Amino acid sequence: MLPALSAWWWVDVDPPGAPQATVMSDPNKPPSRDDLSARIDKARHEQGLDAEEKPEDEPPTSGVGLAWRVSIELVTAIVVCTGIGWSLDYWLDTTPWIMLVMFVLGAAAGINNVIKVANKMDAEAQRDAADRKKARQDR
Amino acid sequence: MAAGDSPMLQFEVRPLIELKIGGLDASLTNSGAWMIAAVIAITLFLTLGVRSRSMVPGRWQSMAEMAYEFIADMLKETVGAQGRKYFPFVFSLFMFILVCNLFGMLPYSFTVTSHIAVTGALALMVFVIVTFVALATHGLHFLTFFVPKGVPLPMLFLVVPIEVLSYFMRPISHSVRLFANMTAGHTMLKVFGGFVVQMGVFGVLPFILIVALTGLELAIAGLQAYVFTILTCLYINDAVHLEH
Repeated sequence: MLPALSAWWWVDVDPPGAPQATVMSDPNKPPSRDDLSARIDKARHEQGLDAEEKPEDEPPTSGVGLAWRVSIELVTAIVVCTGIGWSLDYWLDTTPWIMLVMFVLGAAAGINNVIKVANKMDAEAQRDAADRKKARQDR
Repeated sequence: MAAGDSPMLQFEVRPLIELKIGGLDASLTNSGAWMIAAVIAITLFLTLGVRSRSMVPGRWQSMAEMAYEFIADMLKETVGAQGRKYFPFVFSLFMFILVCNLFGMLPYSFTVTSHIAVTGALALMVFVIVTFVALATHGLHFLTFFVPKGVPLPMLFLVVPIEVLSYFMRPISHSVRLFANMTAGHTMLKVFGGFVVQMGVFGVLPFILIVALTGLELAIAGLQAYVFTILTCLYINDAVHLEH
């Protein structure tokens, strides 16, 4: 494990006591962060350290968390839109028409958001599966 | 049960130091005091934690670095290299929510994040910043975000308003999630706490349950901070890469 080292790729300052870079095109110019992270990646790769970053059988994301996320997405959209419609009706004296329209729009917006979340999860799951398959073939 | 024992009493905002500026009520409330406590605790935890700056970190420095790397990796995975400049914002947000949630678990404390005013303000801040980032990076091209590809023209009159509405629903679901989880959990703890007192000897049963629930609430405190932060990252990703 290199906990101290991997924490540094994100910041501007050099780690205290870090060995000076031996390969540098211009000794007066400090290496850029991209250059630094590329070299760290290379060094990690040579030491065979990237393998441990991806455990082979990751547990699937918590189903309860996903259920909470999706249901709140759906419910808030419907409730808030219907509420807005109801208040507009109350204010403009048009009960119940704006509420009905806003209910349908809110349901559509909620379902739209849920579909987006689901699509993203799907894409992630497929990518993970592909990664795992590749890792198995490489072995 | 006496009126003063209501399980909702824990959510009451009370002024600690009365203060009026002009006609405005600017009193320091218990909510404000716990927010200040959270900020001070985070500052001390991080600055004192990394003070020794050793290459091989001790326990405390490890914790500070773990929090740092956790958010750094999260941003790297969801947004990519362009996510780097949003790190300070996302990290502050995560630490603030996490510490406020955890402080809410202390006995006699006040759970700042159980108020929709607080979570709503946080979610609104994320919404405004993300929209601003999207407008700044893409200009008016940002508006194509609301026009999905491959939709026939007549359908656009229906689809675009729905997309716009979905976009504006984001801060609401974003804030309600955190608020509802914290409020529900803490109310449940107090209700079962009331049962322990009321049931006399048999109060042992709800007492055992409350121990388990406290553990669950601790997990939820961390999980909800994580969920709020990862959603922020996903919104930033949408703004930067303009994906659907």
